[in-house]
Amino acid sequence: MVREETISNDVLVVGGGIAGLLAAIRATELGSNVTLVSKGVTSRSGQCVMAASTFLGYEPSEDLMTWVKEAREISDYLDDPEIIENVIYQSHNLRNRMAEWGVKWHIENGNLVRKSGLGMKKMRNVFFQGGLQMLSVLRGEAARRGVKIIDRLMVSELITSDGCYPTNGTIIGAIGINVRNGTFYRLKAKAVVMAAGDWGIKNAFLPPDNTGDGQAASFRAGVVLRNFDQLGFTLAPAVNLTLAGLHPFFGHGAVLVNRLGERFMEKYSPELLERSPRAVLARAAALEIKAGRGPIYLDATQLNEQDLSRLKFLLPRVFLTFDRANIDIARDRVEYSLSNYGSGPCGGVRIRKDSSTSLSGLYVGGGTSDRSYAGVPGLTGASVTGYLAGESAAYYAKEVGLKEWNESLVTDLQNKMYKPLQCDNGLESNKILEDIRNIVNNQIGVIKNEDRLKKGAAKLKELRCDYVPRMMARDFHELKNVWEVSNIVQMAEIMATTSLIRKDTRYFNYREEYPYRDDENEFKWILTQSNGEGMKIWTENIPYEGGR
Amino acid sequence: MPIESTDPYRCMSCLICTKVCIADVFRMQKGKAEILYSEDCVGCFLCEIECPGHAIKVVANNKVVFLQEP
Repeated sequence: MVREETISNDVLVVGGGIAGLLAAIRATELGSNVTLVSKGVTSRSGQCVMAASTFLGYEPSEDLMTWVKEAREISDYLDDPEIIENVIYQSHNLRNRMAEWGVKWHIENGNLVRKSGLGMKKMRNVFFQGGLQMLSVLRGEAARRGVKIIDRLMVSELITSDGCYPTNGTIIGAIGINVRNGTFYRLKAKAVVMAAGDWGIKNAFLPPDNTGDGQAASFRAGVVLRNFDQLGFTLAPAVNLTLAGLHPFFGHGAVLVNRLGERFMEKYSPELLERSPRAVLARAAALEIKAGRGPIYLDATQLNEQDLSRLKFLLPRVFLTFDRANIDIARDRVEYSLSNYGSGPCGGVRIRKDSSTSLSGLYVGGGTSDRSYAGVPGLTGASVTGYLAGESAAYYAKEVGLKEWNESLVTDLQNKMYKPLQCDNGLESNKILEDIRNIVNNQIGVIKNEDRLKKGAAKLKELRCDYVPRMMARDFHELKNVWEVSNIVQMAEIMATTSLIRKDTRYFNYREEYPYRDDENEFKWILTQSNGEGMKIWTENIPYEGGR
Repeated sequence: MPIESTDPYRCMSCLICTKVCIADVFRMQKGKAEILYSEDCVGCFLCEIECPGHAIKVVANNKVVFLQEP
C-alpha cells in the first residue's frame, strides 16, 4: 500500500515557476505559512527555465498609458485593461525586488540592455541571465523565508467545501501524489494559489509538464475560464520545437524568409515585419506554408558578432542544440516550423486585478490564468499575477479557518486516481497523445474553420468519454502521464468548442470564414464554466476604456 | 525520444540527473543512473549541463545518451 501524508497550511501554492515562487514569497512576507508543491522540480521545471530570458523593461519615467495601449493592441484587446496596466506598472518594482534577492539582469557598459520585442513600438524588453539563475535565486529566497517545497508531487484535484464538482462552495485544499512512489497527499489549506503553468500538448513549444493540470482541476471545481478559444502557436527551430527565442532574435534584427528567399512579413505586416505580435507571425507562416512556399527559415546571418554573442549568452539551450545539429546560425538560414503553444499566449482561469477567481479560496497567477497581460512577455505577467495571488491568498487566509474535509469524497477521488494502475489491458497514454496532437494542430489549428472545429470537438469528446477512462499505467510515472493526457484532452475539447463562438479573427483565433477583426460585433471576451456534464459558454463585452 | 545506451563508467551516482530532469526520465538502477523513460525526453540539456561526471550527452534530435568512454 502507498503511504499517505497530510499537510495543513494557510496557503498552498501549486506550481514552482515564477508565479508560484513569487506567490509563496509574498504570502510568507504577509505572515502565512506556506507549502509549495511542484509536479517536477522547482527551479528547473516549467516555462521559465526554457524561456528566452526576456522581461518587460518598464520604468516609471515611461508613459504608462502609451505602453498599456500598445499592449492592448498586441492582444487585439483581449487583455483585461485593469490587469495589463497593473502588470506593466508593477513589473518595475518586482524587477527591483528580484535584483535585491540576487536575480541577475543583463547589463552591458553599466546599463540594462533594452530591445524592442514582438509587437513593440515604444515598449522595450530587458533581459535576465537565464531562467535557471532566476528560479534558483527565487527558490532559495522562498526556502530562506520558510516555504516548504515538495517536488515530484502532482496535484490531481482541488477539494471543494461542499464536495461538489462544480462547486457552490469554496476551495479548501487539494490532493495529489508523488509521481515516483505514489505517496498520497492531503494538502489542506485556507487558500490555494494555482500557478501550474499552461496547457500544452507535449513535444511542442511548452515544456512537458505544462499539460493544463491547473486549468483542468480548476475547471472541474467550477471556476470560470476566459479566452479559452485562443490556441497559441509560435515559431521554433524544426530541429527542436521546444526552443524559445523569438523576442530576442527579432529584437536583434533576425528576419524570416520563405523557401523562395522572400522576406514574407513585408506582405503581411509591413510596419513591424518580424517584430509583429506572435499571432501575426504564426498566421503569416501558416499561410505561406499553405500556399506552398514553405518551409520557412530564420535568417540571422546579418547579425554582428557582439549581437550573436549576446544571444548565445541569453539563449544557451538554443545554441547548444544548433551546435549538436551542426547548424551555424551566423552562416546559414535555419529551418523554423510552427510549434504548438497551447494556452501560452492567452486563455485560462479568469482572474481579477488581485488574482482572485470566481471561486473563493482559489487564486491564480501565471500561465494557469487567462493571461490578461498577453501584450507583454509572459514571464513578466506571470511574475506580477503570481505575486498578487500570494498576497490575496494571504489576506484571505487571515479571515478563514481550515475546513473539515469530507473523507468519503477523498476516498472516491483517491480510488479514481489510482484506478489506471489496476487496468491490465488498457490503452497506452502516449498513443492517445498522438491522436490529440493531430486534432489540435490540424482540426483546430492556426487557420480555423467551423467544419473542422466541430469535427475536432466531437473527436475530442469521444476520446475523453471512451478512451481516456481505459488508459492504463504500469507505474506511478505512467500514472502521471495518464492524468496529464486526461487533462490535455479535457482542455483541448474546451478549446475546440469555445473556438466556435468567436466569429472574427482576433489574436490567435484566425477564422477562415471571418478573416478580419470585427470590433463592432465581436469586441468580447468568451467565458466558459463547467456545468457538470459539459460546459456553458457566454460572452462579455470588453471595456473600450480601461485602467484609470 | 529514444535513448541509445547507458554507461556505468562515468556515472558518479551523485543523483543530480534524477533531481534535475524535468521529464523525470532517470532512475537509479544498481547504483548507477539509467534512462528509463526515454520517450519523455525533450532535450532540455539540464542533465548534461549539471552532470559532474560528464557522463551524459544530448545529441541532435533530442536523444540523450550516456557517453561510452570511461
